[in-house]
Amino acid sequence: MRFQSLHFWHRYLGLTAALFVILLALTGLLVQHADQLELDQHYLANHLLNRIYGIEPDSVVSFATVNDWVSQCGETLYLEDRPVLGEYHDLQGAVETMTGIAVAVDHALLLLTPEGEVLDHLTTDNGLPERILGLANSADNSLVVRGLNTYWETDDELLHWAPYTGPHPVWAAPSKIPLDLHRNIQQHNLNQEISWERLVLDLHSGRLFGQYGVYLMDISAIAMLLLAMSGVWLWLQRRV
Amino acid sequence: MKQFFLLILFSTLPFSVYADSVYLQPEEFISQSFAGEPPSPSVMYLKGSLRTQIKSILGHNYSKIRIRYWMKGERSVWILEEIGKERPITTGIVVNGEGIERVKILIFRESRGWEVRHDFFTDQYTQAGLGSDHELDTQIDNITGATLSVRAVNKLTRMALLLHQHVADSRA
Repeated sequence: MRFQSLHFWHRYLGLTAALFVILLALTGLLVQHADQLELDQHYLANHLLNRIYGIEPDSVVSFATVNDWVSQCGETLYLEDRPVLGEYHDLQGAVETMTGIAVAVDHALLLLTPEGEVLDHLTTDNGLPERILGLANSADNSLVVRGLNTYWETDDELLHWAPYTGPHPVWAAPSKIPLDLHRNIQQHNLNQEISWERLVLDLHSGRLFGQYGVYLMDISAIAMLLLAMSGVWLWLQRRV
Repeated sequence: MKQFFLLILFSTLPFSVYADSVYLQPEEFISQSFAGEPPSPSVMYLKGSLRTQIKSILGHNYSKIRIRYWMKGERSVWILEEIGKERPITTGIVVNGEGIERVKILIFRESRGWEVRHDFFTDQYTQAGLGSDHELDTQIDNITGATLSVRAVNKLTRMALLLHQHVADSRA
């Protein structure tokens, strides 16, 4: 009787746990090969998932240059609605120069092509005289940089720097971006929030469904342990 | 006992967070490379076939299109960056003639693989040149646990040699 009862529990426990075994095995395989599959570089654009994760759109900070808008949303920099390669913070200004579009970001100077490619990225480690806080065009249209202590001017190639002695420049200030551009940028940024790797890891651990999901995965792990033990026990009983 | 655990916790912190380790400021490296009298910097644009060749070395486009370098006679100095696993490794490279004179890890930002900063590793590049398919003509021994950093430094040395060759050709 006890043998039959254990057999009954083993069968139904197995059926219940099967779903979780499949889920854990599949997600485990994906996690194991996440690097080769580049799961961390591919993102899911899904409104429902954003709601589950509680992801709200980041605010957009924008500066207008002569021809373009330079904006930041989250850690992404945008020229118009095209993302610039890399992660950036603290957008502090953008102006057009003879060489490209100068952008003050992360207290460094970024020079962009009109297509949004990074022409140069200057920091205090590789050419900037000091951390920068703002940008302006001088009266003769050259670039003026506001440093922590000094105003600086430079040549077209940004190779040589000297203290700026001209009239007080008008520093680039944030402006209100057109609504459709604002929407496109926020949407693009939202679409970059959840990577496949994040989703697979959270499915594997159950965290996708919050603390209860974790408990569910704990229970399924215990169920699998019981299954293994009851399976071995049943097998031994048959041999006796 | 509590203090002991706190000590253990804080002693492991440097290994669990990212921190920029500056081993040598780039401008100091440039100055050292020219015995305190560096020339003015020059700029090179990565365009056309040069950009394609750099892409084939790195496996992706370089992070910027414009590169500055310092050159006097047959010696050139390059400050280049490449990501090992997640964050860029800033490397100073001196090329003299057709071979590498010195490699120095200047700023290391990764959470592991910092062993590449040691001279026993970087000294392997001395006299290395560019062979066929833009590979180094010298065997560089790997460091266990720092494979991605080693790979990044290998790529940067090949890139510096190619850039030097390009400058030398354009000056000839």
